[in-house]
Amino acid sequence: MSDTVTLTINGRAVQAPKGMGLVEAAALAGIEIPVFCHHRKLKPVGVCRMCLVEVEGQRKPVPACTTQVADGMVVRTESDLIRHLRQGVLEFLLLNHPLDCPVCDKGGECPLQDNTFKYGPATSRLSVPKMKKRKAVDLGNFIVLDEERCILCRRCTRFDAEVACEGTLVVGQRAHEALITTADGETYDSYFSGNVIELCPVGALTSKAYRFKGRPWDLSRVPSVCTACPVGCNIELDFRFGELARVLSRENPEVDNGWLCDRGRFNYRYVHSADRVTQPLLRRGDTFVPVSWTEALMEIASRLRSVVRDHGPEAVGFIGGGRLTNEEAYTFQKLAREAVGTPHIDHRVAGQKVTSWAGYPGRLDDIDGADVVVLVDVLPAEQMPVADLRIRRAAQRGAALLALGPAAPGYRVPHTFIPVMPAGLARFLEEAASLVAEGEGQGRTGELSTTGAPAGPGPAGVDGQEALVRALRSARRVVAIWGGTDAAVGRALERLLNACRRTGDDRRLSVLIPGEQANSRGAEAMGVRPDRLPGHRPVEAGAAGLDTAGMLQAAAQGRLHALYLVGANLQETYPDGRLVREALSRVPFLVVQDLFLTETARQADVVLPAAPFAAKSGTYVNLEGRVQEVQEAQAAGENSRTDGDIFRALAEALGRRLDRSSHEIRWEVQHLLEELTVDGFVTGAALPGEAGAGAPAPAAGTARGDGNRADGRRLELVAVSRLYGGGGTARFDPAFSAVRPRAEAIFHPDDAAELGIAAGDPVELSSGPEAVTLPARISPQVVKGTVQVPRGAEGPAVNMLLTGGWHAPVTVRRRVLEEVG
Amino acid sequence: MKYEKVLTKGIGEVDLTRIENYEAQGGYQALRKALKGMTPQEVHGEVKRANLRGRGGAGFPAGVKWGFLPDDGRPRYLCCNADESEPGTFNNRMLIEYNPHLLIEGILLAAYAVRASRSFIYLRGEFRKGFRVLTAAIEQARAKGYLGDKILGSDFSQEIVVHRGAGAYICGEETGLLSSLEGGRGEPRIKPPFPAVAGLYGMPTVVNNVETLCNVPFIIERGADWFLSIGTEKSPGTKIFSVSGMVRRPGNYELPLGIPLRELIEDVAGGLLPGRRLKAVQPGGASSPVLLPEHLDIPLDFDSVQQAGSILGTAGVMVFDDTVCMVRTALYYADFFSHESCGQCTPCREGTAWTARLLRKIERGEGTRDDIEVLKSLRSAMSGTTICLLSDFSITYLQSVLKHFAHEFEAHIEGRACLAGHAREVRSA
Ligand SMILES: Cc1cc2nc3c(=O)[nH]c(=O)nc-3n(C[C@H](O)[C@H](O)[C@H](O)COP(=O)(O)O)c2cc1C
Ligand code: SF4
Ligand code: SF4
Ligand code: SF4
Ligand code: FES
Repeated sequence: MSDTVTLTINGRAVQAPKGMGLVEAAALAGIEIPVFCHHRKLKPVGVCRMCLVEVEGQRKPVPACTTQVADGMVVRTESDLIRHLRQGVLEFLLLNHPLDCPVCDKGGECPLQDNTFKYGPATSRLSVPKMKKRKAVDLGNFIVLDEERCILCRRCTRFDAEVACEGTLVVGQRAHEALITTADGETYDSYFSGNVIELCPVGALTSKAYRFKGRPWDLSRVPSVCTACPVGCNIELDFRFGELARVLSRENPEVDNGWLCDRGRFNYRYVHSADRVTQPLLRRGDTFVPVSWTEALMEIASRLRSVVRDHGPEAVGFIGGGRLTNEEAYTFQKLAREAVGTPHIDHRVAGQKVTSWAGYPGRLDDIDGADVVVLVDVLPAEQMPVADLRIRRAAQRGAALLALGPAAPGYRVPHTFIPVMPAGLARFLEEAASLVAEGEGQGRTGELSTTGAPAGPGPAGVDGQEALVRALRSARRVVAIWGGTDAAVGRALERLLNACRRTGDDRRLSVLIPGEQANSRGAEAMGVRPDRLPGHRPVEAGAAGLDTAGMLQAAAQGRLHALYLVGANLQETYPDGRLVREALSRVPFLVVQDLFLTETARQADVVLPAAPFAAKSGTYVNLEGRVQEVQEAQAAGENSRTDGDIFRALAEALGRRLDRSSHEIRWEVQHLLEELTVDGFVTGAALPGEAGAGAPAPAAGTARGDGNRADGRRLELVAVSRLYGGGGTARFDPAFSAVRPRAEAIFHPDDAAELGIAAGDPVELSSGPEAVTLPARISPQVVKGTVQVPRGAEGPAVNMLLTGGWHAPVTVRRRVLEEVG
Repeated sequence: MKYEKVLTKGIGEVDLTRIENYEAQGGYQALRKALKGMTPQEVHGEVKRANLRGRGGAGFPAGVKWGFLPDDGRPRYLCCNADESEPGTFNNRMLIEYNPHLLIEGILLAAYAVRASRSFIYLRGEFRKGFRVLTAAIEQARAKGYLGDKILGSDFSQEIVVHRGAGAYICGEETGLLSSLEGGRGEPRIKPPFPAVAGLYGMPTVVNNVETLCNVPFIIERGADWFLSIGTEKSPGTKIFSVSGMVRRPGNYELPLGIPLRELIEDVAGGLLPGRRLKAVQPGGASSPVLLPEHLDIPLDFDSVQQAGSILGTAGVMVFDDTVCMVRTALYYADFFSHESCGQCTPCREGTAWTARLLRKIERGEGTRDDIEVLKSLRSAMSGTTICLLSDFSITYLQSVLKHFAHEFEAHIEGRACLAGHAREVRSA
């Protein structure tokens, strides 16, 4: 049986692969069949009837989109009948269409316009007034629906059901009253809502940020890569007269499959925020004064020189790098190591320990073929959103999806959540590894411990472990996704995967780790680590510098005399707010290079205004090790400079040229990346503790006095990632500030009942002398025994209660009125 | 002439909702006979030989349809279409409310024949009484061992699930029914695949009308030859005609297929009201094109009615006399279809609404000749262009009255009074 069939379309013989739809087969032969509802990424539904064609032997015309090719099939796409029916469909669609093309966002790139131009009737025969519908329905965070423009092709609802797997967007009513709406009681706040704007073949779904802002022919379009998370979706930046007007997907099937998340798509207006730092700032007492670049760089150079002179180069620390391009990151570590001479440099700003893992390299498309996906202390929707679409699809097609950790992922696809406290995670995995290795765990499940299960008989423990072990035993392709926050968990995960490998021969096992910043992996590969040089080369024994925790402690203890932060708002991102506060207030000289005057930047002695991503050229490494290149899309602007330019200028001010020619660094980086590339992807690093991992960084973490209060209850504080949390990019973006998570403490209903907490009550969470008061929320999604708080939220900084990891025991009390005031 | 009642026997005389009464007139004997002495293939074969044509509208032979189920080991389902929503059609309702055990027995036999793992009755939501009656009857049947595990000691087990609709005509279309039964919107699916191959939950499924299934017990008990001896050669058996409109005795009448239209109207239904003249008859529900007085002598069977330019459809016979405004009838149906379209397909969603708006305009005396031309042209745009037949249905009756009663439209257009003497529609659009 051959895999291709031969059919005839409009008298022409066409070869097409079996199973292909007629629309695509016709396209192979250069024949266009007009469509509206059809979209190659969505299941065909055949509702718009635009694609009707004649197939010999069929009584009636058939929709080309739902018809597959067959050998010997004879198809006519341009008969009089078909042309007549197309006119009919267009006449119907335009009948009550508002035809507000002159003010419609879609005008100029609208399939309804284009198809009407090509196939439509020239005039309307409507002799009754057009039917009215609602013009501006607020569907959710980012989208406004114009019901009159909607042609009910259902691409949007199908996307939401089939790709996002959420099912919030639905068709409501019926007949001519049918409309797009949301399921009862829901708003369309999916992280992926923006995709439906691009899918919509008319201007019915509009972006709140772009609505009425531009015409397609006024836009200049520049290809780029999203830098909001480590997935690295491919994007197109559309500028209107120099201003970034919108972000669209630039489909790359291997990375994003043509989708973007709403953070990547809508969080761009910060680029033009009036709050951007636009000039170097120098501290004069309690205020900043704007100065020239020369003055700022001279000041930094002279202060650094005197620190080095008085205390040695090791009194200087550099933190940041995960937001830089590879070239910039490489330059950054050269600045630290060569121009200043310090080993203290680290890109990790949010408590992550492991960014990549050479042992079980994972690719995004591994998820597509996986039969088991295990999430280990990670929330993919929040940390690697577009990759989460692959996970959802895998689960929907029947792969086992198991999530382990202290916080449940909010999936609407079938999955098993196994609540395990971070402290018990390593043991849980190790036990599972033993069971998988034994290969006969079912008989002795009674002996399994309920390691890590929260206090009380939660749903965790034995059952969860059994589910995991059972799934892994029969799996051929396993993808583990891991948050990378605890090296011991990594080693346990390695044992588990090794055990899986032993039980099967041809298994494919892979691990993906979402870095805490978009280019964490690139920064790591470029040597922005105290223990590794560029190319993952370990530093000489005993020569390792301090990691982020070590530098902060050294600064807090007065051992570090200068700290240089790049794109790192530690005061918010680092899971030990107290340590950051002490370090920043104690360190004699603080330089912050950023786009905004963040709470960290406000404590600086010198603030250097960096240019946003769009002004950069260079390469990034995404979470799977894929190198992607971007070109400068927009000039840095008069006074801000790209991070790379700043490093070079500063090195020069320090009397050191970092590159001999303008291309030297690019070449070096290219060479480095090529060296690291295996099968087309940059390899990861060895797991800490593994051979070749280099000298372990000095232990971090400060044990803090318990301070348990007699009148409170102990719960495990779990600070979870939130896609819209954190950072200047969200806060200083008008589209985003509204959707940033608000600080709140979320309790399981049982804990809330025990504590006498009702929704909205102020509750005090305390650890040692630190306490924050947050409004309470109650959700059965929260694991019993934990209190969940969003990271990077608007409101009191909960990282004040943490000591280096994203969870810690806290004392919870309901604030009573007398106390409040 | 007097005809033997089959499906309606006992209705109005004894309370057949009581299982004892149903048994007393021979009920559940066919089931006993089949389970004791016939293989599923034999039951199927008998129904096939009887040429039992579907009573839900299309007249497709049930035995042939059952034969389409692929024998591939997947579970199979039987769905009884009890969504009866066709204007002018009310025979299923009578059977459900007054002879529920006949339906249950028919379902069990069909389920046995096609080896269904479960049966469903998709019941029109408004049939509240029918729901009470059916669920009570199912419990009675279960208590007597006709339903459940190992029925009558045989190896055959069966459950019947009654699912109530939520008020949508389109859920009577077999694939719309399946979508709704699965919990989704009542929206028809593209065929192929046909339900026999991929129906309920994607499994092989038979969908049959209530009346179709009610015939099965008699075919099994009395044999296909008996069945073939009633009605016409190509349309054997009886049919319950629902007669409504301007006749003296509207109602359900069970008669052999092929009975002349004249006999149905003039004898059985008591004829027209005094002093009235017959204007038109719709023989088979909302979508059936009009028959005219000249057609009174055609036999009412599937093929003859089709030859006369209409369809027997559901045998919901509606009689219009000279007081009826044909523009209004067209508007009435147009409103119905534009309300009942599921809205998936562009031509149906937009076309039904446009049709209704144009007809309303014409009915009010505000229409133009162009509007009539538009209405006529919609036939080609709305027929054979959509997922299900509702779109086609919505336009066939209209086309027939545009053709045969053009003068009534003309009169409305010129702003003259309605020829039937009615005040104009004043309802707002
Ligand atoms: C718009 C539409 C509405 C329908 N409504 C009904 C109905 O209410 N009851 C019914 O039995 N069949 C109805 N049908 C026909 C069914 O699709 C199907 O043909 C029938 O249930 C098959 O049963 P039968 O073969 O026993 O007649 C409808 C068809 C269409 C296109
Ligand atoms: S809103 Fe757009 S995508 Fe959704 S159904 Fe309407 S036209 Fe289609
Ligand atoms: S998933 Fe990540 S890379 Fe992709 S659009 Fe969202 S933030 Fe950007
Ligand atoms: S023809 Fe009408 S009722 Fe049938 S599927 Fe299409 S829109 Fe729905
Ligand atoms: S594109 Fe085929 S029916 Fe819409």
